[in-house]
Amino acid sequence: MRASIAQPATLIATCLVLAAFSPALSNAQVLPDSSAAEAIERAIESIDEDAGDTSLLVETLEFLLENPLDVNTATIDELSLVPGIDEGLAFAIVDYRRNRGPFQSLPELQLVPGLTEDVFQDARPYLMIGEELKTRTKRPSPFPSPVPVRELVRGIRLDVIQRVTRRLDTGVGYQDDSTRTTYVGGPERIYSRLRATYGRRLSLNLTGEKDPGEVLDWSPSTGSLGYDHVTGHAAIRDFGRIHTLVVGDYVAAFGQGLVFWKGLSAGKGRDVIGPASRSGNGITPYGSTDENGFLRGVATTIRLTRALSVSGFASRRTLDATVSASDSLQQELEEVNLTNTGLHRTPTEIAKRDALSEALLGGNVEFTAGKFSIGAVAYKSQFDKPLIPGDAAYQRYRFTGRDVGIASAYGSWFISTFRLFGEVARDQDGNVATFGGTSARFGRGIRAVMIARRYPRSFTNLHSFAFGESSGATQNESGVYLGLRVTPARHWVISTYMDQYRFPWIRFGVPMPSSGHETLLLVEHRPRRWLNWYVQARSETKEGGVPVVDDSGQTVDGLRDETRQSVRLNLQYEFSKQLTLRSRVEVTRFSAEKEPTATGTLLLQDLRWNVSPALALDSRLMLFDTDSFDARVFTYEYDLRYSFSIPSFSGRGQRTYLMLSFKPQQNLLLQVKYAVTRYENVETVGSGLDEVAGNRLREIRAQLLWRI
Amino acid sequence: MGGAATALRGDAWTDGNPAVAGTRSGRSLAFFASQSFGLSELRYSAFQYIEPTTIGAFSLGASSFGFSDFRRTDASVGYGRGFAFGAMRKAYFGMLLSYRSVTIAGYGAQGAVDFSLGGMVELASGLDLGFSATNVSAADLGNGGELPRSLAVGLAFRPSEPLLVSADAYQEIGYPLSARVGIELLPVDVLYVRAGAVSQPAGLTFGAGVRLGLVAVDISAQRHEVLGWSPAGGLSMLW
Repeated sequence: MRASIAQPATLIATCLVLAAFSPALSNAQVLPDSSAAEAIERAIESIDEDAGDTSLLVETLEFLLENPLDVNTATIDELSLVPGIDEGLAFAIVDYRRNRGPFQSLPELQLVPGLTEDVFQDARPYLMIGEELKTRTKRPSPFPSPVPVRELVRGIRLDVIQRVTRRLDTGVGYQDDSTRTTYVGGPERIYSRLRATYGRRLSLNLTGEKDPGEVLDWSPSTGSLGYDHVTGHAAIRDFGRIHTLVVGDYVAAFGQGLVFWKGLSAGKGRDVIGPASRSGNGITPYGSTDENGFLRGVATTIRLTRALSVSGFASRRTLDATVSASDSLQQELEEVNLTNTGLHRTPTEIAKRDALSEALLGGNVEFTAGKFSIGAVAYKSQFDKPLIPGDAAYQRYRFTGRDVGIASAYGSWFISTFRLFGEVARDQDGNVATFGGTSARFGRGIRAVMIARRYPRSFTNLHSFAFGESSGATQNESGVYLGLRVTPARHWVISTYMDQYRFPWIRFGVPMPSSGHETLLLVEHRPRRWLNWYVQARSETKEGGVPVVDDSGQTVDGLRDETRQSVRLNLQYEFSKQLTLRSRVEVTRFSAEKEPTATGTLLLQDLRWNVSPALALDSRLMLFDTDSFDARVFTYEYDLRYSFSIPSFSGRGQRTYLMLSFKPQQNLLLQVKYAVTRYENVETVGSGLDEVAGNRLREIRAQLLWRI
Repeated sequence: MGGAATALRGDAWTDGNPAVAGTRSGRSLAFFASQSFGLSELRYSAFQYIEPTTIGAFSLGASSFGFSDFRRTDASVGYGRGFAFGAMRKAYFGMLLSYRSVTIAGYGAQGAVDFSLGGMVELASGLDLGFSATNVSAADLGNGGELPRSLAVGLAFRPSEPLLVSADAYQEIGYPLSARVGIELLPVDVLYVRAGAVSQPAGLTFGAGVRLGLVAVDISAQRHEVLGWSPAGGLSMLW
């Protein structure tokens, strides 16, 4: 596999280096200011806190910020990527400009029904008014005209990002010890990225990342490019009938994700409307750090007519897998399971590397006519070894075999202020998964969405990521979701969702079919542009597994209700352009039968000081106190540009960090962050090879961002 | 006022928030004494002096807690000042450098220097936000002797002169998060009446103060539902 990626990666690297030293690139480019990072932070904060890797979301938002959408030409799919704008609002924008002509200014967007001031403030950084369309009177060409090569070369922009992070207190896995397993590499996380872009039209990218504990091995002769994870692509968009063409790594999302959804996915969170009513955005070039969530090969979307587009994608890549044999001599396979940690730090983890290969071929056709759109997506894939899940009961309905063939049809229909949408998928074994819903707008200030989902327990979900409770598992779940967003008065927003779900088959740690429900209530007040506060209450009750004693005195598997609740008060105040303060207090509670109730608290104070246009300081002091892991607290924290994290904390302690951002030139940004977490009443932190002696974890992070 | 003092502008004490010194327009000298639950072994006494200057306000203070077998003594110097940060208004920040020592009869004494920070801004007319963090340097006395580390974030709202309402969230490492609320009324021109509540440990506070010219006298009492009353009193000179 390493050999297979070496060649295209080298090609992309060569293109990037040539681009970097092209004499046409004499003009220095300007990096986005800190308000761009703040816009992404606002969006990141609104997603589900335990959503996991946010790199794909950040990738998409970053791209949008640097290449804002022209509100006079953007499609519904494109507009619905913007934070705060769901498909219904996106349609309202398109419908407005169709009936009343192009927007002359961004504030004019607030005349669109349903697009309230708070939505506009969130969406504004991602939108722009294209110059050429302000005064146009005739209908534009349905297909963007190709960019002359000379103009393309002149306008190309090269970004170089180099990031190194390291824990100063390292685990036992980094200590020399011949008596046990240790990590093969050093504790640094190293991330390098070269990216050349011309607006939205052209993208050349090469990204390398080494996780802590992995080895940095530069050996081109063996196909090793130093980094453990290397990803790259060459892509063009909006060239005549070519909507997208990617060679290299890419992600793709179609319909509501029952069949194919790799990439941006927000899940349940403070945005109660958008994630539930989302639609796939087709093929997108990939250059992020997630080592599993992408395809490698060629993909394209062609606009056959204004209304009809077709996509094709082919991929061949290796995957990490656990392969265990019951008889090592005869190599009789007993179990083959995909693993998705992306970590290759120990001989055991390295043995899983590239243990499986998947070849995939898929296609999509989509027809859009005014208020109506339909589409279909299908793919076939083949593994070089059959996937064989373990024989545990919760694994019984996981995909088994080598060949996957799955297809779906999806559609969307706008009726007045309502939108109906849905998808039906069928896999090679005849399992049918369904997703359907409606979103609506009532007056200017009320938006609602209601969806129902049914994902059979044996549904093939290898590349699916539909909306649901189980982080996109798209299997073994059915449920109903209702989201409501009300603007009762200017500057006030009340959001709520209720989700009821059921798992028809047992899950890991839950020995019976189970169910649950979740509710969120958010009251947000933005009396001024520089002051906002919100109160968020969340409660989820889910059945979990517990041993119980039956009438005969035997211990058997049983169920119990487990409830996790949290209340948060958050206040953000921009004193001036130089000083921003944020305070937060949060209380969590976890209760379950036959277990004492656990509580958790968090209190934090952030301060952001823009000392000068070239220098900024971010700091945080946070105290947390939780009785158990179940009562853990989450909080987003400021980080290096384009690197975002929502860490969780349990136990008792204090977290502080200080981050310095220095911009000596308009095209150069240097950042250093020092963070320390101190735990109380513990002698070690972490477990296994990551166990650290002492009660503190210190980390230093540094990044250089250079735009040529 | 239930100890909800983090956002109280113009206060004569910087223990609750070192930034307070910067909000004072005049000098102050304050004395304070309390005896928790009426026990002489839990007696606390303190004084503080604040001197505003053209480059900010400086403070000097000392306190003592305990009795002959266990005594904690603190001495502190502080600085607070308002900064414009490019605006027409001011945001106030302050810091406090404290030397804290603990003496245990028969074991000797240990001391350490810790560093505290605070800030205060006006969110809207009459509404202040304050925050304060003690011992941000995580200093300790060695040999497992911890010094308190805490963070408090509070709001104070003064809709009109005779009424002040304040609320704090206060967390000290090793103790539960505590909510504190307080109210101050000025029924007649020289008399202040105060009441407050604390969630952890649960208790109610009551107090009153008289201000005559430059001199202010305050008394208060806190009731713990199990351990009973803790009286306190203070004398301040403000000029």
